[in-house]
Amino acid sequence: MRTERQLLVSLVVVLLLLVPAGGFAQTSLEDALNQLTGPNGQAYMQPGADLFGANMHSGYFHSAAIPRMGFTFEFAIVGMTAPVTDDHKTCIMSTPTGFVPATFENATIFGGRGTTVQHSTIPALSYKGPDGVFDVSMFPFGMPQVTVGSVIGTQVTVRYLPIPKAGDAIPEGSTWAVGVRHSISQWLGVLPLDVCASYFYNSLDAGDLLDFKGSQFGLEASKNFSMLVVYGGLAYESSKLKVSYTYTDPVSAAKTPVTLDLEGANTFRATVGAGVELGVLKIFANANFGSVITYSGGIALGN
Amino acid sequence: MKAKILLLALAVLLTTGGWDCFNSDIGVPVDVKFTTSYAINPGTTLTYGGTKIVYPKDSVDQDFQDKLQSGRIYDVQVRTVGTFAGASVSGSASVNGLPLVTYSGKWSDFQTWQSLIGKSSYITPQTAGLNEATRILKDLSLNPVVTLSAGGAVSGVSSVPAGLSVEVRILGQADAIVN
Repeated sequence: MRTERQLLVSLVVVLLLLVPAGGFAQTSLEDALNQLTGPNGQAYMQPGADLFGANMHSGYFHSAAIPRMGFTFEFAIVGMTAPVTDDHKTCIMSTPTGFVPATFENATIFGGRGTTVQHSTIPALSYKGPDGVFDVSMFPFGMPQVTVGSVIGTQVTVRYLPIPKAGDAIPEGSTWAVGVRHSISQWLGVLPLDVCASYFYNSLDAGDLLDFKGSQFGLEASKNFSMLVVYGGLAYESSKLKVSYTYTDPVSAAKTPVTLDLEGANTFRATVGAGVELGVLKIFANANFGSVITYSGGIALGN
Repeated sequence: MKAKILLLALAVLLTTGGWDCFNSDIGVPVDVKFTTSYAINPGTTLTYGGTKIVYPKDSVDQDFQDKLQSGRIYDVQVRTVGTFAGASVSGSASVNGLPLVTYSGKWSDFQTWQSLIGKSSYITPQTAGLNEATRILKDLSLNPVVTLSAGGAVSGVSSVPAGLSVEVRILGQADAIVN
């Protein structure tokens, strides 16, 4: 039991290392957004919505086995990450009206340095887009997760994580998720594997800047081979990241509220994964394939 | 022991995933805009002109003023202020004594901003002044001082009513380093 506690503490430390890093970047993010018109802001932020939405729906389950009745409890630390591809790192932005060229390729939130574009006929005139904020090959996230059950083969899963305030400009926020899973295999007699259906809803807010909502319907299956469990699933999902900021017109100095409603790219995913169950300790990892590929893994304590 | 090895592998995977790599010195281009106004005195004198001292740094949002590095200009605009039917206006604007733009047209043509990137046929860019403006904005951390001047004449009328002026506006960006 002492070893398990040490393992849990170690994982919490890993998780805490992740959270401030994400919050820190938002100061720069808000500064960058405030200089962008709506269309440029959307181009800059869309990869963030795609990868964040896919991440948030990852790692909900690592088995489809749900007892028909009896108390079950599991605490898990789940980490998830999405590879950042070259397509996620650049976008097309517009130059000021009349400038030639009218568009240019610039870094997104995940890109490197902003691009300086020179006017095609008046070389002394030039325009620059913002730098990216995250210079990463992977976009990670992490969440603690509690699952309790079972009543008629049904479990409830809850995630919650406060997001600390980062600097004076970024308000603190929180993220949470709730879901329910119901055993299908209990109604189908003898099946060679466990099957369940699930629904999850998740949310994140960071003051007035970010407001994320997502939901997922899934069908999951798993099979135990002694300590090894192999699992997979199919899911339909949607996510929306609302980004709100104030754009200041460079000419009139008029301040215009901008609200971006960014739909996450992922609408369907197939999950394959495996885990090891060592008594109350479970370690698992999986890959999720869809428009956005994500990987998740973690450690859980419970029955 | 197996569990410890697996946990160690997981921790290594999580901590080497690449998310500790934030861009250092993130550059956010913030707006720089300075407008100078040159009054045309009422009366029978049809010429006008003047000189203004400008600190480009002061035109940047205060939150960014101590974080500025390089900058650039992306447009120069000219307009007339006040009603002056039947008149024409011409002149030139300069930066640190170097010609920035020349302009010429009916007074009414300049009632809306005439812009270089808007391909206005009433204003003509001048390389020397544009390069000087670019040079000045390249190091905003030094809080450069800019001398802007403009001068010219109105024509097609015998006298000038009160309340007229010519305005020159330079639009640019300054890179604020936000972390």
